[in-house]
Amino acid sequence: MSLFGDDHKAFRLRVRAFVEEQLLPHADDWESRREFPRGLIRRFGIEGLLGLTYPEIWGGQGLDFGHNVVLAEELPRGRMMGVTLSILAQTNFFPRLLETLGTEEQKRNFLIPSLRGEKVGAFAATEPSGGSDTVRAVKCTAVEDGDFWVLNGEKKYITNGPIADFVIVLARTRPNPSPTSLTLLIVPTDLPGFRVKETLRKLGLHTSPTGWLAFDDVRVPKKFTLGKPHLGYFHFARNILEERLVGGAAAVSMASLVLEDTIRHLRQRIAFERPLSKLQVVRHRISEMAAEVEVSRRFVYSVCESFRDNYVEEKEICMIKFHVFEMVQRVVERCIQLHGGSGFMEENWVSRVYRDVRVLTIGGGTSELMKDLVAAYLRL
Amino acid sequence: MSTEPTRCDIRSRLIVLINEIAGIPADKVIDTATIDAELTMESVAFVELQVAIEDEFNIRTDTIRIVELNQFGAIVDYVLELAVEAVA
Repeated sequence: MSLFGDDHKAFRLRVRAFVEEQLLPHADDWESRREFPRGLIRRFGIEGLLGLTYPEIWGGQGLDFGHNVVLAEELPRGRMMGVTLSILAQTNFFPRLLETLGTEEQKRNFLIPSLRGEKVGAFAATEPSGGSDTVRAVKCTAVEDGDFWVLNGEKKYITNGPIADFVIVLARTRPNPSPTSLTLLIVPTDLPGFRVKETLRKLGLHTSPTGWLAFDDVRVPKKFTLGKPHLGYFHFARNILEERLVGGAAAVSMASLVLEDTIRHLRQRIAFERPLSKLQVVRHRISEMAAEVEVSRRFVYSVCESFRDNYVEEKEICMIKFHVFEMVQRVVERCIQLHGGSGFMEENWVSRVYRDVRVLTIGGGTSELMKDLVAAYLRL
Repeated sequence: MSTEPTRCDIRSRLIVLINEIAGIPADKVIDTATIDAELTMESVAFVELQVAIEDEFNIRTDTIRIVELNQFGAIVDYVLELAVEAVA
């Protein structure tokens, strides 16, 4: 069954109108001020866009995964990849963990308000010591003390960390470097000992707050343990697949928008007494890029269809994470070239995208790690 | 017609896979060995081993179930159960 039907088409029009009204007019301003207005999460919550695929009982909309793909594809039309990331973090980075692993109390206290946009959440695995080698890199420790875990350590590069009301932390609860040594803890950020050490300044994604977080003797009630103790790595590894897949849909959409803008520019720009779009070398370059974008889009859709039907194609999702994301970087770089001098200007949003997409092959699992995983699936 | 696998067969084939992929000596892979201790391996090797087990016995395994079982002997029984279902 196709990923999209008539209801998805209607939904797409609704999201597009919302994005064009609520995001697009503010893009230049928020980008120049490096701002993500916290109230935006609430506005998306009121609009019912944060919990599309979550059960209605927990504040979601009970829709199928295709709606999530539509949201991921339409958000980039706001011309801010940072905002796109921060919204998708609120819809896909951590709520699924709460839905699938959370106790009733945890769902009431964290999932429902997150999907309503009343609370901002964040997921924190990476540390100053590393990210790809998660099992060994996690130094953040949680030690049992009666009904509490005592949490110490740091987390870095955490999307929405500086504005979060709670952070789901992957912490070391056993000393040995085994995949069965990490536990997920829900950490409300008003607990004593939590602090935002720094809001990080980045090459791109200026409209998404990224944090360096510190935990000094934070006493986390054991009732905030998410999922099974010591199996946090496996919960995390399963959850991040959805994040990568939704990210793939958003990234292809971004490349597609940049390509559309570039074609528009090439039709108008005159050189050698004709539009640039009439030059054979340009036409061939555009055709190549259009093919790359379309092939990737259809591959992402195919894996999304399987995901919707509860068949998680892990190897293919890893392929999307490096192959499709590298394609997006390539397309954006080539489009900058075709824009000429104007593509290098700050006011041209394509130059912003050029900075933003650089993170695609780093965040959420580097290309190198993804290729290692694909090699493992292929049993090389 | 497929032959129903035996526990002994499953066990010996699992020992070979663990040795090949994680480099753990066969004599350390005893029924009481656990993922937490004697059978610990890095995460990518864990993925490769799981895929190898699924390919070898034509089954689909549940990662969380495997790590919860923890002991090698219990994992052998779990794989045996799935492998028997697969040929039934």
